Amino acid sequence: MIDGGGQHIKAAGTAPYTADSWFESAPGCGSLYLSSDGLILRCNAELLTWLGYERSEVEGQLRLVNMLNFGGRIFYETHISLLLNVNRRVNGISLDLLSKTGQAIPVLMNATQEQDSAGAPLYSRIVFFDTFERRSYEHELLAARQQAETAAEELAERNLQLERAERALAYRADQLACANEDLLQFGYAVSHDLKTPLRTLTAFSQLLQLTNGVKLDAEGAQLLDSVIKAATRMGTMLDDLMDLAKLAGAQVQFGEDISLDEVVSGVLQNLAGVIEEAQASISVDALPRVPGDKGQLVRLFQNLVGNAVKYRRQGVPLRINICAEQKGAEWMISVRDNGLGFEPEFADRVFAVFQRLHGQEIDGTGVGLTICKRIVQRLGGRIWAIGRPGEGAEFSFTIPAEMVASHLNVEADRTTALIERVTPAGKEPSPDPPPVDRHFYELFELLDLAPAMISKLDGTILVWTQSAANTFGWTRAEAVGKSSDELFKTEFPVPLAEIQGALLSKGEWAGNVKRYGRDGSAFWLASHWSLHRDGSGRPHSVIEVYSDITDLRRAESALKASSEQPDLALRSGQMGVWQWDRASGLVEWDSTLDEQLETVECRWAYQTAIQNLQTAIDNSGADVSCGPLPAVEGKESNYVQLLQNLIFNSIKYRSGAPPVIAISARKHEGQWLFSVRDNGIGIEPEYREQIFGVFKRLHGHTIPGNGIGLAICRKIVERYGGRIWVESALGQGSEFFFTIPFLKGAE
Amino acid sequence: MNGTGPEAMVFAHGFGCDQNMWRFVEPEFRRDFKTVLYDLTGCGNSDTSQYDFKKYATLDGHADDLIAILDELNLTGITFVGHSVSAMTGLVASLRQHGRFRRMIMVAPSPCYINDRDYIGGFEASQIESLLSTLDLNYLGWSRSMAQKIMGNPARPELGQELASSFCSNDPKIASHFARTTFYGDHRKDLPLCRTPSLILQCSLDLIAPFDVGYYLQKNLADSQLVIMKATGHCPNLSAPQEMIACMRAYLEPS
Repeated sequence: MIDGGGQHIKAAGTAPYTADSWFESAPGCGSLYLSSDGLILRCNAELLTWLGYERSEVEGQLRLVNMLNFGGRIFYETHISLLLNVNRRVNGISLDLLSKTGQAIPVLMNATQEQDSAGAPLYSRIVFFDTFERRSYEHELLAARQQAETAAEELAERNLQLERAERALAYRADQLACANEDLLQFGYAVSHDLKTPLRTLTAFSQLLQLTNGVKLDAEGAQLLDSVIKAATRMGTMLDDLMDLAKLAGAQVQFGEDISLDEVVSGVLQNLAGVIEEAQASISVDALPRVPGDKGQLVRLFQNLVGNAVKYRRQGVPLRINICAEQKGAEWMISVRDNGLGFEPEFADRVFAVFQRLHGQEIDGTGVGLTICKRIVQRLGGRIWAIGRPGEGAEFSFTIPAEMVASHLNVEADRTTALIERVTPAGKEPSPDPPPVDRHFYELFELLDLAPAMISKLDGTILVWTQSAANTFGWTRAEAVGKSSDELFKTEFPVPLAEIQGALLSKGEWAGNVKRYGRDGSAFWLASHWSLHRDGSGRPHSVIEVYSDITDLRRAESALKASSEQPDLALRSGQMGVWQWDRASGLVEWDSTLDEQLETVECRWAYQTAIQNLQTAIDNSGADVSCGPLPAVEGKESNYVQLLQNLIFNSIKYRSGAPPVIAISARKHEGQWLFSVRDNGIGIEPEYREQIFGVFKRLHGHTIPGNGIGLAICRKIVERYGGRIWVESALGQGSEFFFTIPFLKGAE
Repeated sequence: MNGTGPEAMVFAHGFGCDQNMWRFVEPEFRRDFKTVLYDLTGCGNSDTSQYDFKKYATLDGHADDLIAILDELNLTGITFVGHSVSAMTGLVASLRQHGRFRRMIMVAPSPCYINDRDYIGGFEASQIESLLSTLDLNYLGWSRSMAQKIMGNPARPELGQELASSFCSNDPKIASHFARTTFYGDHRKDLPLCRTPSLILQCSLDLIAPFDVGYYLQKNLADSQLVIMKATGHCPNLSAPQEMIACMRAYLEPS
């Protein structure tokens, strides 16, 4: 009996491809069969690779307990084997496997046991999942939990601060991105607007020179000449600025790969005049074809060559060399000259906008190289410069040799085409034969242990394991034959096309995905996909094995809070937030202009504000309540921010007691009068106006804050034609009031 | 409590489990005995809120419980069947109320798990820590994967939800504490004091109670018999119930 299962397994003939290859090469799964007394009957190649054993050293030789560390052995003897015996199944046991050399490999174990009709064990199937990352997570998590237990209060405080910092940081990133775009928009608008008066200025100056030039004395003529030159130069600068701004908003147009040979010869033709004038000799090595936007590549080379011509040394024949070299997945392209060069410490500065190293003696706006940098970055590369004063400069940039998939819609089409090519339409792969024989049954049982699913390339689910059913809630009958898209919503970290590309080129893909189960609950899964090819090598199906890391994800925020941040770092973090808040606050103001107004249900805005503040509310034990709130006109985000700032203000400036905060609204003198009342430390009368000013803070740095929250409140209220003020007595709490007009047509 | 026999047979499970571990063995003795099954405090379906970390820091606490059960059921002259650490619990109880124990059947017992000079218990103290950390690691597993996923038991629906969900799903803190009590305990000095006849069932290839321990027990327990079973591992009551039942019958009904 003992070997019965094993013989079955060994004796089986030609294996059905899916299940058999599953046993041998399932991604990240080590599997084995165990006799009733713990001897390893068979184990798969993956497990042997992990452990560093030869098959002959293991099968029929070792016991499972030989592969466990001591704690694991005892745990196996006292718990796992009993569980297996009674329930016939165990899931998610965390163990360390020991390799031949004694190295510990953290795994999760699932197992089932076959028993005879009397309930005596015959053999067990065991599947291990490599969980190194999950384990390190868990270790950190346990550490976090222990810390939380010992220093709960400190933790809560840090948690609050860190979360704020995190939120602030994310917000800052957003704001910076916006500010950057805004700045460029602004630059564009200003350049555009300045051009008209400048054109007038230039034209009239030139007219003056033409018509009345002769009347001017030598000094007057020279002054006028200077005016014209300066105006012309300013025109060029504005053009460049506009180009730079346009680049910021433009999408890169990837099409056919571009021949850089053609690009460069075109550029040299364009620049023929200046090249001839400089008597430059230019050598161009063989250049590759690269993905990119032809117009931008022309611009790039034109600026680099133009730059070399401009900063040549007088009296030295200019030589320029353009060459390319493949470095891994990138091309490195260099433009070398023997011109003026520059001091090494300026290597970064040359790419900054309006930075010029050579003063006015050489024409230039200081925008050309900035444009180069932008172009290269947008094509997915890097650019840098090496200079030696008096010897020359070398500008180099990289460009991906192949299209970076994340950019690309093109790639998605290509992948689809490829998949269509390998599975011609109308010729479906033959359905899997039913698991009839014993061997088949075995392998499917084994597969069933894995949290896994197998689907066709179009997403139709072929195999749905018990573990998948346990995780997501759909039974096998419900899932098999459905498309995974119609079954659950999945959020991938990268475009699906990229995953498909990786499957076709490398055969596998791994990453964290978010899925929604039957009852709508979300799961974070560390997911490992591998492509299965049929006998003739055509892609047939995708095996996906996952590890549920939802709990770990959830615990992560707690973890972050408890990570041992020294106070110093915390404090500096606060400083950072504080400084930044000033800047972003201002950006916030300006970006509220020109928005479409809509009808805002204040109770929704209130609920969002409460959600945003949940951590602060929980940590402070605040009791926040709200009466009926009206609908008003405006932007919901404004009202969220308004309420959020006021409530947060009440929490922040709390007295010793837990904050009690009440929000209400009533009709008063033809307007809505809102009130936010608290039991906090209160405000002295002389400061009641001041607190709404920018950067006015009454409490110094003892209470974190940036002095802008209430200023934003005032901006918002005034924008909607209302008024904001506070009534308060020191030590007795504050009541903030603001008015908002009735909704048009409602009254 | 089951069975109709005149005498009582009391089953006590060991570390890491609950009374369900006797499910193949106990029914066999209902004809001849009144059988009694119970869960140690902190295990199985016992009221875990009653787990007093101070009381159960030694086996005396568990021995108190055993005696309380015998008092409650008014049992005497019993046959006590203790697995693993509970064999020693029975021994400790028998020292206090000698007359109530007719005989003891010790399944995979050990008086002391840690090696001590010439004594071979099978463990080094450092290895106990390794076990405790494995228990800790499975804290997450226990709370979610184990407790929850064990509930689904498609292979054996007849076992019922209640059994499946409770079996071995012990509170991790209690499990860890019980592990300390078990593996750091030393009852070698109690052995010579024991006057109750005993059967020692020693398994082959038992990592937790190696052969040396079985021999040591037989040498130090008066009126004891040692039987080496073919069954491997630490739980013959689950892995080889037929052999175990045969060994027990042979001891109970000498031909």
